[in-house]
Amino acid sequence: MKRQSVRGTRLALIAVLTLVSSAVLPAGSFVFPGVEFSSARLDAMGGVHVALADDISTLFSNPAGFRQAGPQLAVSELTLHLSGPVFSIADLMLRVANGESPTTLLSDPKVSSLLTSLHASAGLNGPLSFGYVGNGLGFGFFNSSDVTFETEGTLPTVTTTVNENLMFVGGYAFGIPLPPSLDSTLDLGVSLKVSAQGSVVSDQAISTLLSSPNLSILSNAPFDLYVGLGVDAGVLYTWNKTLSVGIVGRNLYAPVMKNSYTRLTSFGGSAPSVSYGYTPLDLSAGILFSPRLGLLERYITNLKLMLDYSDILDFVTHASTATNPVLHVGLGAEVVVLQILALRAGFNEGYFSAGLGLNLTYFSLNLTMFGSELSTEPGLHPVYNLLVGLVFKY
Amino acid sequence: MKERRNLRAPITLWILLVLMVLAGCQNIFTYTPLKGLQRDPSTLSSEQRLVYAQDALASGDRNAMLAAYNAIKTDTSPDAVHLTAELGIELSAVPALVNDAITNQSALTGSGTTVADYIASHPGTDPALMIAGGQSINALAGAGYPVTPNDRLLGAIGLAMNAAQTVNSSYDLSGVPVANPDIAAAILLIAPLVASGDTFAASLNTYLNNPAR
Repeated sequence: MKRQSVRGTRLALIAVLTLVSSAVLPAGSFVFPGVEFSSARLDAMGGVHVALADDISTLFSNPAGFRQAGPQLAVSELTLHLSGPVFSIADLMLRVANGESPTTLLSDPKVSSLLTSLHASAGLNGPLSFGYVGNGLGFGFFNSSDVTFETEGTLPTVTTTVNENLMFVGGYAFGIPLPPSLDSTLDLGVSLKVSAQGSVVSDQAISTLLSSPNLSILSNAPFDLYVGLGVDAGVLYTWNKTLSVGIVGRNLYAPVMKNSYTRLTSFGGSAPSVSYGYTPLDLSAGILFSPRLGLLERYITNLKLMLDYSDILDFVTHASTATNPVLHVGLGAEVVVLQILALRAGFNEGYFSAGLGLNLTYFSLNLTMFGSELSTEPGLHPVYNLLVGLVFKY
Repeated sequence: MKERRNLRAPITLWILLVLMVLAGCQNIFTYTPLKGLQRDPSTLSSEQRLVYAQDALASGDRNAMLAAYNAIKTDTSPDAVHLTAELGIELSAVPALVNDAITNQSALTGSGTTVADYIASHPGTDPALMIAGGQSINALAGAGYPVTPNDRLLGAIGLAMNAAQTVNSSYDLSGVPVANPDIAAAILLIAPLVASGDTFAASLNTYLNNPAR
C-alpha cells in the first residue's frame, strides 16, 4: 500500500512538472494573452468559475463540466460590451457631433484630464455563437469584434486597436465511476481550442483623430494575424448535487503563430513575416455551493455561491506580468426569482459586479455592470464595464 | 397624438433616470476596498517593476508614478531608462504647458506664457526631471531606441531648458545661441517630426533655429 502511495505521488509530481514545463519552456518567443469571450452572466458573478457547469459558457470554463452542463444548444448571441468612462465619452461625442472644434475640446480641463489615462472600448460578441454542451460533449463556434482607445500622459497620443476574434472549441468529458454510497460524481474533461485574431493597431495625435476621423488611419496601420491552438483539461467533483470542486488547466499546450503585415491592405497581397509565441498556462481552481432552500424554493431557486482562485501559477508562467495575489480571487452568487429573473452579484479583481438576467423560453436578456483592473495592482487603473446582451438558446 | 405627447415627458425622465443611475454605478464599480494591499514596487523583481511603471504611467496616478520612478531610476536597461524618462517628464508637470501650447491656450515659443513664465507660476513643476528626461530620450534616440513622437517633442523641450539653464541660469531661452550643443541636439531630435509635417514640431524648430529669439 505504501509503495502504491509513493508511486502515485511520483506520478502526480511528474504530471505537475510536465504541465508547468509545457508552459514555462515554450517554443515561441512572444507571449500572447489569448482570445477571450466575455459573458454577461459570468462577468456579473465575478468572472469565470471553474466549478460552475450549467450552460454553454462551460465551454470556456472547464471541459470537465460537459457532463453536468445542459444539454443546451446555443444558436446565436448579440452582446454589447462597453468599457471605460462611457458616459464622459458619450458627452464628448455629442460635443463633436454638435460641431465643437478639437482645439476647444482639448482646452477643456475635464477633457484633458479624461485623456491622460483613457482606456475605452466597445465590443460585440456574436452574431456567430453556435454551440452545444451536454451528455459529455461540448463544441462551439464563436466570434467577437472590438475597438479600444488608449492614451497615457498629459500630451496624449491615442492608440486605437481593432480586433476581430474567431474561435472553435470542442471537447469531451467522461465520468470516473465512484461507489454509490459516496453520492458523488467525478468527471474529467479535455478540450481543444483553435482561435484566430486579426489585430490592427494605430497611433494618432488626439487632435488629428478628432478633426479628421478617417478609416484610412486603420487601413494604413500594421496588421497582425494570430492563429493559435490551446489544450485545456479539467476535473470536476460534485457531492450530493450541493457542493462542487473544480480544477482546470487552460492552455496546457498553446502555441501561437503571428503573421505580421506592414499594413492592413497588404493582407493577402504580400507575404507576412512570421514569428512564434505561446499563451501561458492558466491553472485555476474553484468551489461551488448550491444549498437546497426548502420552502423558499417556491419563490427562489438555483442559489449558487462560488469562490475561485484563478491563474494560480502566474508567478511562474508569466512572472513579469504576474498580478497581486488578491486580484486572483473571484466571488460570485446567483439566484433565480420566480423561475424567470436571475439576480447576480460578485467580486473579482478587487471590484464589485452585479447583473440581471431575464430567462425567457428561447432567449435570455442580460444586463451586467462590473469593474476590472487593467494593471497588476488593485486600484491602480480601474475600468468600468457595461454589458447588455441577448443569448438565443434552447 | 395628444397621448403620444403626454408619453414623451415620462420616457425622457426614465431615460435620464437610467443614465443617472448608470453614471453613479461607474463610481461604485470602480471602487476597490483592496487598494491598501498594493505591493511596494521596490519589492518587485526588475521585470515586474517595469510592468508596474508602465501601468503607473497609463493610470495617470501621480503617487504611483513617483513610486515607480524611484523604483526604476537606477536600472540601466534601455527599457528602464526610457520609462524613467517618460515618468520623469510626466512628473515634471511641464507637458501640461506643451498641451496648452498645442491647443493654442498659451504660447510656448513666443509672447504669452513661455516655459520660464509657466515654471515661475507653477510651484509644482520640477524642471530637473524634465531636463533629465530630455537627455535620456536624446541618448536613447541616438542609440536607435524606438522613441515615440511625443518623446521627441518633450525631449527637445527638456534639452532646450537645459541650454537656457546653462547659459542664462533661468528657463528663458533669450540669447542662447543656435550652436549650443543642447539646442542643436533638440533640433536634431525633432527633425523626423518636422519632416513628417508635424505643425507644432515645425513651429518649435523655427523658434529654436531663430538666433534673435
